[in-house]
Amino acid sequence: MENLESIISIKNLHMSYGSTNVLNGINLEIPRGQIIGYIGTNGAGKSTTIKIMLGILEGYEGKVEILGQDISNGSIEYKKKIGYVPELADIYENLTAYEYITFLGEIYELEQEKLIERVEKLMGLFGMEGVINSRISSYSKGMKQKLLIICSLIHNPDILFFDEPLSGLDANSVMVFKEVMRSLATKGKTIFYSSHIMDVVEKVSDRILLLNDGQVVADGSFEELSNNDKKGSLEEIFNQLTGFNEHAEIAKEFVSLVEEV
Amino acid sequence: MKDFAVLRILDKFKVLYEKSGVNYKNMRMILQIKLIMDGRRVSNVMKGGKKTDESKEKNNYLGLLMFNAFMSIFIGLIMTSSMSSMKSVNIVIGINLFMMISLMISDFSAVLLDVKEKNILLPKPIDSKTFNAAKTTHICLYLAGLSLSLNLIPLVIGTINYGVLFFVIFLIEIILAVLIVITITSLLYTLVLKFFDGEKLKDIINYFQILLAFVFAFGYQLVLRISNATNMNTEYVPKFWHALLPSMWFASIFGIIIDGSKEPFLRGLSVLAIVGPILLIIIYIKSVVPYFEKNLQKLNENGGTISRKNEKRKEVIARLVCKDKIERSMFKFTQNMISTERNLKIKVYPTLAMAVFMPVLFIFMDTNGKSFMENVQTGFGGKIHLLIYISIVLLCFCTGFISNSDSYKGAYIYKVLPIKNPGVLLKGAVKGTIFKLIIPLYILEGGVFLIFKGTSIIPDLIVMFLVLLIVTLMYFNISNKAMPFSVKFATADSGKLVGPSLIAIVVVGVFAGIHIAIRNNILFVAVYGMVLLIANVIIWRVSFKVEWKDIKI
Repeated sequence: MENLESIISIKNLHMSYGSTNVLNGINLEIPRGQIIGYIGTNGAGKSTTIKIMLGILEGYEGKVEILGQDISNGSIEYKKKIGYVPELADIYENLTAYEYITFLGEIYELEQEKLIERVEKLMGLFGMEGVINSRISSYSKGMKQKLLIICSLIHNPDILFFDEPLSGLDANSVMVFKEVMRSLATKGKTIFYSSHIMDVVEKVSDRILLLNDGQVVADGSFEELSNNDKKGSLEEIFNQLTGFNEHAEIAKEFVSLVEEV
Repeated sequence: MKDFAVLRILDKFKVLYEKSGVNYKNMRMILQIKLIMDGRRVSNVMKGGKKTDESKEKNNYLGLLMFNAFMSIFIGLIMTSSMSSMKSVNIVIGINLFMMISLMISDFSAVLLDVKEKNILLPKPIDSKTFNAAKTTHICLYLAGLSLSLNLIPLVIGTINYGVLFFVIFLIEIILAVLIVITITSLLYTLVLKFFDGEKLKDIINYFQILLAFVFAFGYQLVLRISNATNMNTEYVPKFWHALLPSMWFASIFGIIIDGSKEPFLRGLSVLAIVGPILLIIIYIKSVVPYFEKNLQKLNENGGTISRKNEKRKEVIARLVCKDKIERSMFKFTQNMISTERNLKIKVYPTLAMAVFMPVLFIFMDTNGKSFMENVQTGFGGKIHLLIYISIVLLCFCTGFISNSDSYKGAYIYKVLPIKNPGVLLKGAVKGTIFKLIIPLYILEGGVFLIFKGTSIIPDLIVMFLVLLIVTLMYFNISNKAMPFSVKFATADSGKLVGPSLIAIVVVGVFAGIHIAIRNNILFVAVYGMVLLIANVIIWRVSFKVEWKDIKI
């Protein structure tokens, strides 16, 4: 497939929960091999967009096509080609990693023995030896996160949805993971990277999408965004585009309230 | 991974699933991991790093099955009566449906209403049909087990009385009954989901669950009385509304085959026995589930604030009953938790509702042709208000789940906060529960009897209240080994309470027995009351002498 073809295509996407509108007309075309930094304030609709693309949320308006397939037709073919690291470590904690991976392997129709061998090696690379037969509930936050990352990759998917994937990872693992993302992208994988940590987004993304009030308010590489706004960091661009400039005053008041014991 | 015998049985129905477009292999996998998980409990936060003991994988569900099998002895007694097989089966299945719907509501609502699971499974290549089939089958497997255990003795007695044919038909019927249970419950949930949204919805489901438990308790009670008392041994007279009772559908087959009835209406009903459940489950799969799942998303919405009225009154009560400051805050904390913890309400409220209405039910049952009022005045030898002891048993059960919470992970605060004596926390929690749930209901119940029977029963009410306090504390102590709100809810949770409940029943029985024996002498009653009062003071003093090291959080 050539680079220009859209691997994710969203046209005029609207979504509302009852009377509150969460997404107000999102349009997106994403080609293969990009790392998309997906940012926005709390409640801007980031997770909603991702959940719609994953087929968890239904009842949206507009058209969502992934790998050329309209996802509203109920077919699950495209899900064999996507991986997902959820924001809240949603996982069956009562299972052991081995059991969970075996389960996923069956669902993705992978060869079990090879899969387990690969997963053990992958876990080893993340510094997790000898825990594959322990319950996931006994893992630390970072270990759970690493396991979720591995689980999202075992079937060698084409599109990856990472929702705050670094939470709980130590600095060394973060470095490994960033490098992994980079290489995956050069191999033609598309990565949808949603996060609140602006420095990381600034560094890893080929393209940044800023969501505010359910609409895309900025779309382009970091260079393009900073040229337009003549500002230094992504953090500052973010503040400006979301119309926020009173952080100093808020902080001052916050501390004065803390001291009022 | 562990393979389960039930799954191998399920394999026999593979074709059925595949015909309806379910990916059977995937569904089986999902079921397998669900069953593995059900056997395990995440016991707590603090043990975090340690590997959980695999051998402790004991199942509460097994306890529940055993309890049901025990109950089935009593249900089996119905089969030994001189009634025709049709009537006795009608009653047995009626009791069954009622008990299973109550269990379904209290123990499996969480499974039915779970939204988190979607986040895990749906991003994987699992279509929603397979996902829903797994969910439905999961519940059905459990209900089938419950159904079988509840009918164990009736099945045996019926087979002895009526032969192998009875065995085959009855076995099939009790499995079909499961389909009815699951369909009716989710159909009702769907209705609620349709009209409400968000936070409000969760509350409404809660009240609804209580209501439902009621409707089934009373509806069936009424039906049984009508069909039972009036024409015990007479010929069956068809009534149109019988077609609305699923238990009649099932019973009609026995009416035809075993009792040899030629009534055409029964033939119609017997067709319903097969067609009804299957039709219901098809409606369930085709129309209820898709709608249900879509609306279930509403449960994720948050919003709405909790009003802060009555704060002053709560504060005053807290100051009255708790001397210790930490105990006082635990007292208020417990009350707030109980009023917001939905899963807890689901488990507790139906029991509480039963507690209030059980005595009334007994009054209705023992009419012997007298009017209701007459019966209240003179029934049970004028001691009818002592039926409150039944309520006492049920009321004390509600302390059994105080250690459970959905937000069990928050329990670390007990360790983080500067608290020297954990017993104070437990004491505050018990008191909070008593004031929040038990006392209001006891006052209501006592008040009703007071109106009917006059002030002469006040000494009895006081004695019963003292018994209530003792039993509640005892039940709390033997059923909760952990700190309040620190253990996760698990499927088939009620199993762990079987032992403590039996003990509570025996203890209340003893107290009630003494009370009934001495009741006619007011002096004895006064002495009894004094003894109970002293016992209370002692028990409440000594029960909370615990150290942090004794507590497994």
